[in-house]
Amino acid sequence: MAQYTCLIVEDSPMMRQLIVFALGRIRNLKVVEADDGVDGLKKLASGKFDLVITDINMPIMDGLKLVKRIRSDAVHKDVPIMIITTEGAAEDRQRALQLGANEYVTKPIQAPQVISKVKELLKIQ
Amino acid sequence: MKNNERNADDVIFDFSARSEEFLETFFRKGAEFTEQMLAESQKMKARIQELTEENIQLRSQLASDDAVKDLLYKIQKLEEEKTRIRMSADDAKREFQSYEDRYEEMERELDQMANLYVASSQLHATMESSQVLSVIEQMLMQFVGAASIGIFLRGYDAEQQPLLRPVHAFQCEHISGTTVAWNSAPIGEVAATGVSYITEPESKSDKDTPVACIPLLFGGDVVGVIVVYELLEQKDKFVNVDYELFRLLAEHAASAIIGSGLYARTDSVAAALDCFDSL
Repeated sequence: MAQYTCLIVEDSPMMRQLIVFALGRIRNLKVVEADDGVDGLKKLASGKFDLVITDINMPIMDGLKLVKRIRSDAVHKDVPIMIITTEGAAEDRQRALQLGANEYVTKPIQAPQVISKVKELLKIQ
Repeated sequence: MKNNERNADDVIFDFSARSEEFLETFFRKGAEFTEQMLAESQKMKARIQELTEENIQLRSQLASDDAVKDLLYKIQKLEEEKTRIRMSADDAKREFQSYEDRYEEMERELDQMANLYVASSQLHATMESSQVLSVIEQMLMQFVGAASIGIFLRGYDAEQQPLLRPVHAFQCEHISGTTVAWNSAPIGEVAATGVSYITEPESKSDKDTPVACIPLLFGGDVVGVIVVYELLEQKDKFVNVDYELFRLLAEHAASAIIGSGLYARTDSVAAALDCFDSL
C-alpha cells in the first residue's frame, strides 16, 4: 500500500518515464504524472501529495511559476519540491531555491542521485 | 662359724648394695633414655609438622602452577580464536566490499538499462517523422545532456553524388539550408566510414564544431548522421551510458526514421499492414 504520493510535472514523456522508472525503486511510493504546470496544479488540487518533482522549461506554465503557486497555496505550501532541469547555471539554481524549491537537480539525471534526494525529502531511511 | 656368718652377712649386704646400685643405675639410665626418647620424639613431631606444612605448601604451589598452565593454555587458545575470528572478519569485510561494489555496479547497469529501455521504447513509440526526429533530439538532450543537435540525412547532388542534408536542428540554426559533402571531416567522414566521431567535450574549440557525430546505419548503409554540437553547461564529459545510447541510436534511429518515412506514404495502419498479406 502506498504511503507517499509524488507528483511529477514534466513535458517530456521520455523524462517522465525515466523518473517514474527511478522512483519505482522506492517502496510505498505512488507516482502521478502531469504534462505541464497547469496540469500539475490541477492534479495537485485533486489529492494529497508528499512531494512534487518538476521541470522548469515547460509549455503553458513553467516550473518556476508552479513553485511560486504551490508556495502561496494554503493547502500545499509545505509540500517539498524538487526541480529537475537542463538549466545548470548558478543563478537559475539560486532563483529556484529562493522561490521555495527544496532541491535542484540538473539533467542528465543519475537515478541513484534522484532516489537519494527524494528519500531525503520524504524522510525515508 | 661366727666369722662365716659375718661373711655371709657381708656378702648379702654387698649383694644388696650392688643390686640397689644396679637398680638405681638402671632406673637412672632408663629415665635418661626415656628423656632422650621423648626429646627425640618431640623433634620428630616438629619435623613431621614442618614437613607436613612444606608438603601443603608444595601441593598448593603445584596446584597454582597447574592453574597458571591452564590459564596460559586458555589464553593461547583464545589468541588463536581471536586470530581466526579476525581473519573471518577480514574475509567477511572483503566479501561485503565486493558485494557492495557489485551492488553499485548493478545499480549503474540497471540505470543504463532503464535509460536504454526508455530511449528505445520512445524511439519506436511513434510513426510520425517529425515526432521521431523530436524523440531523437529529446533522447540526446535528456539522457546525454546535449544542448545543440543537428540531424542530417543522405541525399544526392545534381551529379548523383551523395551528400548530407539537415532535416532537424535544435539550437543550431546555422546548419539550416546547408549541405555537407560526403567525405568532409568530421560529419561527412562519419557518413563515408560509418564510424562514430566522439571527442572530449573540453577539447572543443567553437560552438559550430561537433562534439559527437553518430552514423545512422540501416542494413549496413549509412543513411544519415546525428551531430551533437554542444553539451549542457553542467555536462563536462561523456560517460558509459552515453556511448551505449550513441550505439543504440546508430543501430535503431535509422530504422525508426525510414519506417516513419514509409508510413507517411500510406494513408492508414491497415494500408501499412497490407504488405504482410502476400507473405
